[in-house]
This record gives sequence, structure tokens and C-alpha cells, in this order.
Amino acid sequence: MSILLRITLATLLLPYSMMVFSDGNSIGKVEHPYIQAQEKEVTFASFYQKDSNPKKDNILKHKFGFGWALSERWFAEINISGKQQPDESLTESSYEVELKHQLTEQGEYAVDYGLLMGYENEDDINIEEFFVTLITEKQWGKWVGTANVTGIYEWGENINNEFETRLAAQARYRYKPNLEPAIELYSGEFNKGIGPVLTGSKRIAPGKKLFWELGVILGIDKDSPDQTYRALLEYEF
Amino acid sequence: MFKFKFLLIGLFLTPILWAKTPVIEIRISNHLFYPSLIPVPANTKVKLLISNEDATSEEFESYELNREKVIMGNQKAIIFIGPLAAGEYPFFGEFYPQTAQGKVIVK
Repeated sequence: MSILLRITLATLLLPYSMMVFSDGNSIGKVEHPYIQAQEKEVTFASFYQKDSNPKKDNILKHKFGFGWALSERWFAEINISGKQQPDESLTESSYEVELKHQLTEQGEYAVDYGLLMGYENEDDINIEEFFVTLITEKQWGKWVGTANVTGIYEWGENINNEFETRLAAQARYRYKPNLEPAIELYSGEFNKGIGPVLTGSKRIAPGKKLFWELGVILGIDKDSPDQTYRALLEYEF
Repeated sequence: MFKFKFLLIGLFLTPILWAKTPVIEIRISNHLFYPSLIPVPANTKVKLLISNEDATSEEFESYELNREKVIMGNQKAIIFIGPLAAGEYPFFGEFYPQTAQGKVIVK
């Protein structure tokens, strides 16, 4: 299938997915559309949620992932997450498999495109979902804008089967390799937030790199957690 | 928020422009770039066609150009750069950084 046809199909499907609301937690990593052949990565991310509502306060979530490039254009990743609520021990809460496809070469067109597909099983609350994310990225001088628009089909024992959408976006300033400040925006039905994030990378040996992200996302409506602190460390090799 | 979502999507789904892009060929041999100095016209997008003649992989990397691309052994890869302002943009080979070095010189 030609690149133009793939982009056109993805674009045509977007308005339908945007007509419905999202009710999931949208805060995570903003994905970029690029893949490096032969690359492998190990990722550890933590999220700490604070809120004035005691039911949503003091919740800690950890995510561990392993990813590897299948080719120059395809990347696979498996993730497992654990959740810890007040007075409870850390328990496995979900697992996820993802497949990312780089649709266009970086800089080839006005906007770079990628596609992320995946399946997630939140076995602690009996919810399963299949999702497709259109990833877009554009550079303006030292600024890079990235948007992830996700369409989700969710089903499970305790919920109504439904379509959802989520948005994650990032505006990042390329100050220097080990320090790139950014603003991130997330939107799901019960989770809308915006906040500052610091990112950076450090080459530790030929072909080996550490990538990090640290930020806080502030809720912008009453349904969203007041603050979600997020940290991520990724080892690429 | 819904309107903002549409605005953001609109910004990223801007029309794709088609234009004839100049091609510059580069070779990697014995962990060196040939040529290592690459003249490029200012404000012009160019396509670098990189042939890796070594048996081992190399990664073209440049923070200044915001590009990172693995070129497998005895394979070719395409990297688009620009349009760029006049100046010098260093690049190197991630796997053999001591020898594989070069610069894009934009005039």
C-alpha cells in the first residue's frame, strides 16, 4: 500500500474516532514516529497521582517494557504495569503488546507520520482494549511538535463496550541533547491535563544511550487528578 | 478541549508538498564518510543517499540536523535534511564515532 494511501486512510478514519469520548487514563509517554533498525530498548516508567479526592489520591503505577526493532520500519514492544494504592502492596495490573510502524522518512514531507497499534489487558479491572494511534511530528527550527491521536475499542465484564479517543501532544525545545524542556497535553474523558516535562538523552557507549523524562501534569478539570508526576528511564542498545 | 483537538489535528495534517529534491551520495567505507564535507545550498531540502560499504552497521547521527538513522552493512539508506540556514552541521557514525565524522556545510 502506498504511503499516501495509508496516510489518507488514517486521516479518513480520524473524524469518526473523534466523535466519541474517552474515559481512560491518557497520561503516558508521547510516542515519536521514528524507528531505528536493530535497536532494542528497556523502559521503566513511574506515575504518581495526587488528588483532593482520597479515592484518587496517592496512587503509584509502574510500567516496565521491552522493545525491539523488527526492521527499519517496524518496532514491537511488550509492557507490564503494576499499581499500588494506599495501604496496599504493588500488584500486576495490566499487560500490553504494541506494534509501531514508521510511515514516512523523517523530513521527507511537511509532517512525519507513524502508526501505533496495540492490545492492552487491564486484568485487575477486567477491561481489554485494542487501540490504533496516528503519530505525527513536525519540526519548526529548535521546536518539535508531536501529536498522538488514539482510537480505542474497549470491552470487559464490568463496562459497556465502547469506542474512545485519547490525545497526547508535546511541544519540545531542542536546547541540547541532555536537556530538552517540553510542554505536554493529555486528554481522556476523566483525565485532561497539561504540564511541564524535562527530557534528555546521554550517550554512554557507542550504540548505547540513556533517555529520560521527568514531569508533572496538572489536571485542568474537576474529574482529572490534581497532579500526576511522571518519570521515565529508557536504555537503548 | 474538543475544538482544540481538531485544531491540533489540522495543524499536523497539513497538505503534503511534492518537489524534486536534489540527491547527494555519500559512502561509508572503513568507518569513514566519503565525502566527509558535504556542501548543501541554503534553504533547500536535500536527500542524502548513504551507501554503507562496510560489513558492519553504522548509524548516521547529528543532533544539529536532528537526524539518526541506522544503515546496515552493505546496504543503502535515505536521509532527508533541510531546508537549513547557512552554517555548519556536524554528523558522526554512532558505532565508530572516533573515525566516522563529517559536516554538512550550508551556504
